[in-house]
Amino acid sequence: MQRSVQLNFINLIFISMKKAISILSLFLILLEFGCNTSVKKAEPAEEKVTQTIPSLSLDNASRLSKLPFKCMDTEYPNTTQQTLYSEADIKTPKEVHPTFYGCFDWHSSVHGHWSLVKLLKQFPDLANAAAIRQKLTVNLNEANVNVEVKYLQGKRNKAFERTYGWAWLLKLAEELHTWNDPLGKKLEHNLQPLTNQIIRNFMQYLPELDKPVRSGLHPNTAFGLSFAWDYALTTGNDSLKTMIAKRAREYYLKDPRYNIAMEPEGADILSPCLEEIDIMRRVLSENELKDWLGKFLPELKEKSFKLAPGKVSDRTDGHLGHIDGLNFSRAWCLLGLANAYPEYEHLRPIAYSHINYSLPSLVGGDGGNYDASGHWLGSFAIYALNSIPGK
Amino acid sequence: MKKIFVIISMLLLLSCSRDEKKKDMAIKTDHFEILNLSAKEAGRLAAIQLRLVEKEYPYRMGQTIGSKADLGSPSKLHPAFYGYGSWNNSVQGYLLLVKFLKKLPGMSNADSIRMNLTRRLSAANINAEVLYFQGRYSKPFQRTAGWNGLLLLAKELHTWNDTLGKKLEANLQPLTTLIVSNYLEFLPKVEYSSKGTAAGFAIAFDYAVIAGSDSLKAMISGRSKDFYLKDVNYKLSSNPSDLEQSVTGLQEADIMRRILPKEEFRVWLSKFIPELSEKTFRVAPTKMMENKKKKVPDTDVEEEGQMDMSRVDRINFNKAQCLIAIADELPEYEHLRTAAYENIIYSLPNVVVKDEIKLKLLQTIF
Repeated sequence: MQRSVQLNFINLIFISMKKAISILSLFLILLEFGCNTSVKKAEPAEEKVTQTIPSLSLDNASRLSKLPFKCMDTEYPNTTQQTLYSEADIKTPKEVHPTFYGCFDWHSSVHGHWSLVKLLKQFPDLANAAAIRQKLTVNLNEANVNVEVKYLQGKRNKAFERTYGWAWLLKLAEELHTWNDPLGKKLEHNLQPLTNQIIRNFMQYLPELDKPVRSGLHPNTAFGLSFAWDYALTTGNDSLKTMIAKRAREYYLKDPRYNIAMEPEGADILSPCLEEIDIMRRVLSENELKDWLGKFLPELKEKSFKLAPGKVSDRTDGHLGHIDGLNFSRAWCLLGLANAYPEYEHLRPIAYSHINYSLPSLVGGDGGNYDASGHWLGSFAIYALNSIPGK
Repeated sequence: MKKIFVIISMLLLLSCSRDEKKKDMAIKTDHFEILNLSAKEAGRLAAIQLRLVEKEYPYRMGQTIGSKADLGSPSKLHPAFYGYGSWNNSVQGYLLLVKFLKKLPGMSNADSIRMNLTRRLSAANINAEVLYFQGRYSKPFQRTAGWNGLLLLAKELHTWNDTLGKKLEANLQPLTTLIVSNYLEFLPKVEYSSKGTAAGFAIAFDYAVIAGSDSLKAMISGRSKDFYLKDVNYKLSSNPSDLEQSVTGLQEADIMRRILPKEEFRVWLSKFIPELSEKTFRVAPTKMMENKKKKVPDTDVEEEGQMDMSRVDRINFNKAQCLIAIADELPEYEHLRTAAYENIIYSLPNVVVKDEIKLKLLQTIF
């Protein structure tokens, strides 16, 4: 408890910067953590009215930045996902991926970089801001990025990080593109060859992919399409945008009614159902979306719609901890819909309950268990928290 | 020519009269016979399998590297199971070699297979595998697909009445014991089932039964009930783009058939997949995406899309196997055999022309 009290005192220093509601939410989150996370087992049904609104405060931002800051140049432990073709392929992660060798695996490293850029943009006074800028400059230098491009061009690596890692790379590129800062411009320029390669990969892969991947894991097609769409929209890449809109319609428009009770599966980080809604929300007009959604998941528009956060039994186990990521990604999908259309406003408290279930373990201590989930989960939290509309 | 012969023999099976059911069933569930394997053909396939388990590269390590010292070649890190693309494949490859020896002990290359098994599955090599599994970052290694493969191999050895079989079973035992204890530690923590969970449970349950492991049996039984007992109204094919949807539901029925008393299973199944009880029930054979068929593989290793050919055929055979098992258990589901045969007949021509697929099928369908 003592630590919790100290943390809350530190928070009070920032009172002048905050509105009452975010102080309250921080206080509650930290209090919950200080008490003992295992106590927090309240059923979501009971929480529906009183759900605290989570927020990305400077304090949370500083905490969430610590892990990617640490892991972006931490080479081990690492899982390279590599297939060895000869003894010559046995190399260190840094030799194979000089930019994205940290954070346990390539895609986590990519979205770790995204997290830091995002937080720097939102909070220029972030703790360690200068050091973060320095590390970004080192990892994202032109020579390193070119080695990554060469790797992706390898004829045996066509499927490498498809489509999850590709999607986060475009999210990073998009974030740099909209960063009004000399460093942002420089890094965007350095990253551009890799960004171009990923765009080419998408443009080649999507026409070949007859049926979308509907799993709740990394290859989920709808998730990849959503982030790629955002990139295309922000940077004015019409050919990519057109391709995504066309394929999304072909993949999903005729889907029969979905049984959401079948979700989640044990190691899901994404909800196949909500990801599909997330891309269709982007590509369909309002009328088309409402028509389609009324057939695909009609219960979603009922005020009584319920969805309980996924439960995590053991946060020291990386795969079981995937469900925390699922909670964050479900939250951003639900918020995306509520933000776009007022008749889905009732989804907001459900999204908050998902964030509130999974956030305390990340921001309460030292950022969670690094080997298990800490190396990646922060990005999901940041993305979810940023889906809550600003004040 | 052979293709036609096999199809004809399948059609003959179909026309068998009902009163010959018992004999008929024995044939249908024996895939060596369905594939019409002569000793010569089996020897040829075994030779291919032997070459594949010895082929070190390419190899998907699936490793979490703790430091530079952890880097190593497949044969160094996995002296028993370093070949055939991955650890799990390699285990499956040895499973098939054991099956060949059990079925056709006099096959021409039996001696070289025995020598290879003796060398690769030595006590020292298995101990090195155990050490790998005990490594700091190896806890989720091969969980649970590879674990299941290992239990299949252990079961195959346990039921092999042969001195080599006994010796290899003893060599493998430390790894088998480790996998069983990993399972017992892991399963209580699993909140949600995944694709493949039910199929894995069936394998682990069968192993527990023959090995007399009551704790594993009770654990599988308990978790199966937690996950599946309340499931209702499963649609085998409501989502045409989910290749595995049809087989996932049937695999769930397959584990529940094992753990529930017959009457309870009957009631549960009627609620879980009501459409199965319709006399006209059919489940379309899973088909491969058209343009995947034409594509040249990106790599030599099994990867998303690349082994689709074998995957859809395995799905079809697995579906058939689950449907036939229900018909065997509950006579009112006799009509499911027709649906099962349609799936087998669809995939059979693919299987008989491709050695790699034949091997995969012989490994995974038993």
